[in-house]
Amino acid sequence: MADGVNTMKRYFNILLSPCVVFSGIVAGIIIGTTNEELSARVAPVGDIYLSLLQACILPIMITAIISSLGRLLTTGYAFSYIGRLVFVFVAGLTLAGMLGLTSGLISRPGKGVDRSDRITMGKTIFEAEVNYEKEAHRPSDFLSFVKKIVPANIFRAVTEGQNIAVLFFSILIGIALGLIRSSSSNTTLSVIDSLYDAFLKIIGWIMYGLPFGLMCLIANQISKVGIAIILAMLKLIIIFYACAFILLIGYSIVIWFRVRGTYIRSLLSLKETLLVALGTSSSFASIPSALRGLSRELKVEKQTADLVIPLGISLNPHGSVVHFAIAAVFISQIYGIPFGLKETSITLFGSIIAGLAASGVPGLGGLSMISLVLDPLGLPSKVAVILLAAIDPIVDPILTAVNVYGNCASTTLIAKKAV
Amino acid sequence: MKEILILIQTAIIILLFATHAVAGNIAPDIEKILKKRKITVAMHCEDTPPFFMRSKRGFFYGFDVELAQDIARRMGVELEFNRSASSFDEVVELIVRRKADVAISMLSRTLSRAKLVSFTDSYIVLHRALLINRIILAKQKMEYEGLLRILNNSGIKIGVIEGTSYVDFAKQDFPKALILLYKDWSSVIKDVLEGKITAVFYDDLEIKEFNRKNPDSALYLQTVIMKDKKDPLSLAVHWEDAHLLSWLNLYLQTIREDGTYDRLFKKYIESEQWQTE
Repeated sequence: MADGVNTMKRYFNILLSPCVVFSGIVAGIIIGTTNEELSARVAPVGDIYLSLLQACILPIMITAIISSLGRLLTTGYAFSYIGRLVFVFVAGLTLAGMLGLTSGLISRPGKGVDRSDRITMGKTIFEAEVNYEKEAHRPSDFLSFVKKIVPANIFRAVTEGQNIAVLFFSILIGIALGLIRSSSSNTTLSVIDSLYDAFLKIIGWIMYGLPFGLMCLIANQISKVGIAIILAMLKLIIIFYACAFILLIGYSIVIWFRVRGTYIRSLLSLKETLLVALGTSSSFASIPSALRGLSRELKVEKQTADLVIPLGISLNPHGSVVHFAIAAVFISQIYGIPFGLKETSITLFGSIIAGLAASGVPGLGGLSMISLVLDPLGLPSKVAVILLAAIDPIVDPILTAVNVYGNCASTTLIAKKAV
Repeated sequence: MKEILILIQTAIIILLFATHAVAGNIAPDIEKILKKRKITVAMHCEDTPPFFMRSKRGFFYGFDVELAQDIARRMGVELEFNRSASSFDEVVELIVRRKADVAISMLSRTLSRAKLVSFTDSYIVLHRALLINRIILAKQKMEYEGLLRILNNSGIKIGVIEGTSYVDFAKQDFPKALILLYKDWSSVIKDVLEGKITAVFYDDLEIKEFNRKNPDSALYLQTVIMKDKKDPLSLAVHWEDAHLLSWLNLYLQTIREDGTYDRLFKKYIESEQWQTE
């Protein structure tokens, strides 16, 4: 009997191997490019899978932050730790923004775009604008971003998935529990810990469906891509990918330096995280596997990973910052606006703020945050949103991977170096 | 009894003759057209697809052209175009000076024109639309909200084409803005692209057509169709021609019922079917 269960388990574990997951992705790409009807039919399955995956993310985020902050405060060396966290986040975001800016300025994706490409872009914009005349979302400025951090009603923030507000509240609870220092607060932290483990367990089960789920998600995403607009904006897309690869390689080296073992091992430990990020284009969906990969495989301090990963998904999104910085340079080049010192600093600061703001908004809504960069530059953000949305299915996966992997690298920098 | 029958018969015969005599006494405005055996239609001199234009093979056609042909056919007369007017206001003038019987020239009805001529019911309702320079728009930070409210401002320059109804519409919709008159379409487009003016104000059909011909312009110019601001097109006749006016109104009603209108609307307005001709 026990033997039978073990055999079953072995069969099921095949589903977890990266080869099977990868072939799921490839199958998705093939279906997406060749069979539009089938892609549309499997789309709901993919959506259900993603919902299932995301259902457990918010509780994991909340429990991870509360328990790690609470335990951190009871140990006493919290301040130096928080200082390091802030430094790593700020430095990382600034570096990402600078990389985006310089690569945009050097490779000039928006200069000398030929007429046929401009025609394709113009058509895309015209269709999008004429069909959606009443603008549903309003652009946000810095103040409205700050407003979103503080929830008026924490339960509403949770049900509506206002992640930044939830983070803020979890931090408050974590600090409060840490400062109480009584036996009952310890018990509470233990309860939260076991809840956290339970949610991770559920995610572990859901992971068995990953190859199939990714196939459905990717097939649908690929089939939605308009080939003409991709070709028209190919140069911009290549720059996004080039920057993403530079960053991903940089992160892998950082992780390798901070943890023990070979370079290959450090890469393989986070393979699942990267595959989930690429396949789902959702940073949140990849939180659990990032936590597992970091603390179980790479032996990074569990407490640090539990705190930094959920926080960093919203507060340390390198990929989004690079995205907005390059896009801002691209748009300024399309309109022939000279790029001086003033514009450079606006773009650097603006794209960091926009990146932070975008991570709090799910889906394409995040793209509208580019108005935080373009409005001060006096550039039309509507055009930018439409064009970026058109190439989003191609660009989003790799940028999500940058967001997630950058966070893992930041975590290893904040954690004490493994000995 | 027999006498009575004969009396009734005579009465009927007299009555029949009487009605026939009445039928011979036609309203003078219609009679004039029937007598000269042709109806003269005033139409703007420049081709304006999809209302009146020439195909690649030189074939003259369009929504207004087919309407004019159908009117002539149903009236039983020949058709003649007078295309000497180089602005839409001049088309109205042709009617006033009796150089044409009816204006079929995608003519917007405005109150100032209605002082000079009589308009029929509308046969197509266009919408007022704008092409706005995106950079000026972004600099004004008015991309999303209250766009039309902010366009009505003293610092804003709006370009319209001379002699069109949009001169009146612009004064109505944007009384505070500076309205600049342009001779033709290409010069007003040039200025809005260069940012010398904020926006061009015209009908949605023409602006959509411009976008179709110049798809890359959407990068630089934002199209805004004012769904709540209508621009009804009507036929126009001389104010004295009251009966012709009522005949044309009945005609417009009839073609809506017998499917002619639907066919024309599908061919020229709803689809781009006409472009293949």
